[in-house]
Amino acid sequence: MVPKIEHGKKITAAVLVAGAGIAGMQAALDLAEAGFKVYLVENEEPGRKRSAKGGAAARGFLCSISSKLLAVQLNNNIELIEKARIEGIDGVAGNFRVLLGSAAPSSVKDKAAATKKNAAEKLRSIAAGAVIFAPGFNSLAASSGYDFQAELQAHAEKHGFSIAGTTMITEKERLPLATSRPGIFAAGGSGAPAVRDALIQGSCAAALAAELLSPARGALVREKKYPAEMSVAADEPSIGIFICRHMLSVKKAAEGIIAGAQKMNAAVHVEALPELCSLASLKRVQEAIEEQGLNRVVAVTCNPEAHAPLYQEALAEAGLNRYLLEMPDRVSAGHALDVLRMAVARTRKLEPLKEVTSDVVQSGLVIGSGVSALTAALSLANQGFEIYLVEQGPSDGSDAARSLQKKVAGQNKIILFSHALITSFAGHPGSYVTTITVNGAAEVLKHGIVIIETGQARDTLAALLKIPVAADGSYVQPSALQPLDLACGGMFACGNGDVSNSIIQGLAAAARAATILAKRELVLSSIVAVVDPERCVACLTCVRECPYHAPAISEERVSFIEPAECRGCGICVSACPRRAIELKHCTDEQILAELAACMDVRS
Amino acid sequence: MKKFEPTVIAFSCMFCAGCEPVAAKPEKSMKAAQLKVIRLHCLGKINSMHVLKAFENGADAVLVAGGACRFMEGLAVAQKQIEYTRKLLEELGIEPQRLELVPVNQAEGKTFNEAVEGIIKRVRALGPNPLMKAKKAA
Repeated sequence: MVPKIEHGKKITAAVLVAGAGIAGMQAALDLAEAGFKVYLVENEEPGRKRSAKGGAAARGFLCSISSKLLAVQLNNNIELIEKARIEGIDGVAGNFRVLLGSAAPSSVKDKAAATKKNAAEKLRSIAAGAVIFAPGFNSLAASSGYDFQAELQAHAEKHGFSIAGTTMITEKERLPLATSRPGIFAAGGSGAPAVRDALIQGSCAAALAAELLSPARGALVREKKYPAEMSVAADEPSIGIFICRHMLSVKKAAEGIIAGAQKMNAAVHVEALPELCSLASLKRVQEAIEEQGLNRVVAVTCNPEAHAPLYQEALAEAGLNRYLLEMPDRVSAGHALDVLRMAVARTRKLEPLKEVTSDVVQSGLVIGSGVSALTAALSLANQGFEIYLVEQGPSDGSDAARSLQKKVAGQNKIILFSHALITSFAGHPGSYVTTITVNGAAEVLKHGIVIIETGQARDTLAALLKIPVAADGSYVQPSALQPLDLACGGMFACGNGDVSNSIIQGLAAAARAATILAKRELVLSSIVAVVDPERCVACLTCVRECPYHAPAISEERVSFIEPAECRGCGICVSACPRRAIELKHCTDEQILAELAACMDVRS
Repeated sequence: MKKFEPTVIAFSCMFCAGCEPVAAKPEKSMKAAQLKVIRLHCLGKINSMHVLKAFENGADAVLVAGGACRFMEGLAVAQKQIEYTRKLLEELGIEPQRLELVPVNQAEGKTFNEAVEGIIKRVRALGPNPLMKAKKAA
């Protein structure tokens, strides 16, 4: 599907992404997680709010976008180059040289500063194997009259390629987002995409670039180094409370809240920061940890789900265990002190948790027979991963599917099982085991990820693979910012809509899956149930109750729960008649502390 | 005498009902009443001890909220636990109507708020937590 690079030619394992919009940031993140160095070039300051007029909806949106930007900034394999633009692209696919210059300043003041600086700022040349154009900062820009297509067209004219094929997929080519120049891809080009589409297109472009450069994968990335973790077990809790200014819009109330928070037990530092989801704020939190010797952090933001992983990362960078962080529910002025008091009570009882990891089985299971399943399987195989393609029903007879089926037959990394029936499923993200029956014979498949084409006998499949389904029958979507990820780690869905959309989704799912398959080891949640062997009487209640069959009776004749197998639901904890099991990060001690604090009872 | 306004403690699943309640602005009738939310990793974690402790600490009502479970069986397990706990409450002389489980999915703040209002209305009629009355008398 992607231009082949002649054998023996040098490949640069880096990608230049032009445009730090949603699509661009998603492409950069997927590529960096999949083992490629990324240069993310933005002609403005990323995060500058082109459409700040948008009101509350825009605010919420910008706060979620800022979490992508933060993830980019915290990734040591993405180099963010601001206020720069592409002057020229030399070379061929796999080995481009991209010439950067400083971007045209947008205001007179900037212009004067730029002229002064110009002499010093020489053109920079970057070696990259592929280039992705992803213009436009965000989808709201569209409502302010911003034209993606025009910007993309301007790039195309300047750098000598055509984008005619990017939105329409011709019968012959079937390659979305590719331009006429091999190795250059264009995301976000079909008018003004919605956030979801932009994310999917970003991932899709990442898959195409990864296919091209996969022989060199890993050559230029570096593992992130963290300082040794501070031991906090013996120390009294010393809590830093950080509140986003946007949560404290009423000034008078804000002062009261900060004063109230300062009086809370073990709270040694209280600070309101302008935007808690910015890199500057994260750095400030890290400084405070060092200066004040903080050993626990409470951070109050408007979107705890989106921001928690980033704050965990910030804590790890500062030498604190990731689980010494509490991000309470959204706070409104009326009951802010109540929420804070509960959060602080819980935070005092937080414990550092051991990292739980899983070795990654570097092969994938793709379930489905349609265009998107075939595309996903092909993309991952082209990226060098072994793929089991399981077709539960008959093959898709459409023209689009047929030409893909031919390619699948010619790809020796794909093992195809037609008319197969999935009979059992077990394991955890990074290491799943599936048993299928083909013509009466059983096959056991081991794989690190699962891609499911939607519409594949959903109810039975969901029950078998333990994928949560919402009331309307669709798969539960854990995050609006990762539209193809399912609620179980390492599982992805693809394939809604027409042929072109199915191809884009298939490729995007492949890019998401590659972020796991490219790793040797996957870090899982440390929120797991742990059995106290002294209290356990091996009554088998937990073995019976666990939906994931994680607990087993060990040689010592007590229950043992393999941390990687545990998903952290806590069902065994409430079922255990001996109270021998504890759910980490959600312990009874922590819940009771919160309960006491919310009724202001001294425990 | 001051009008009685019940205090409600809600245990909510952080994935399903986690953040909605506060984001969706509570109706006027709720403002006077006190709602405190404790988030759990999954409703599967809840058991009678947590609920009883909430009443012991003085809550007038306890709401448990969660929906289409990310862990498959959390809601069903919680349902069993709550049914059992209601029987315990009855034996203790606490009206079981003070405890309710409501299925709430992600982005269904309205359902949650309605449930809170419903339980507040009911508990207003019942009066304060009987344990607190007993405590005062002692």
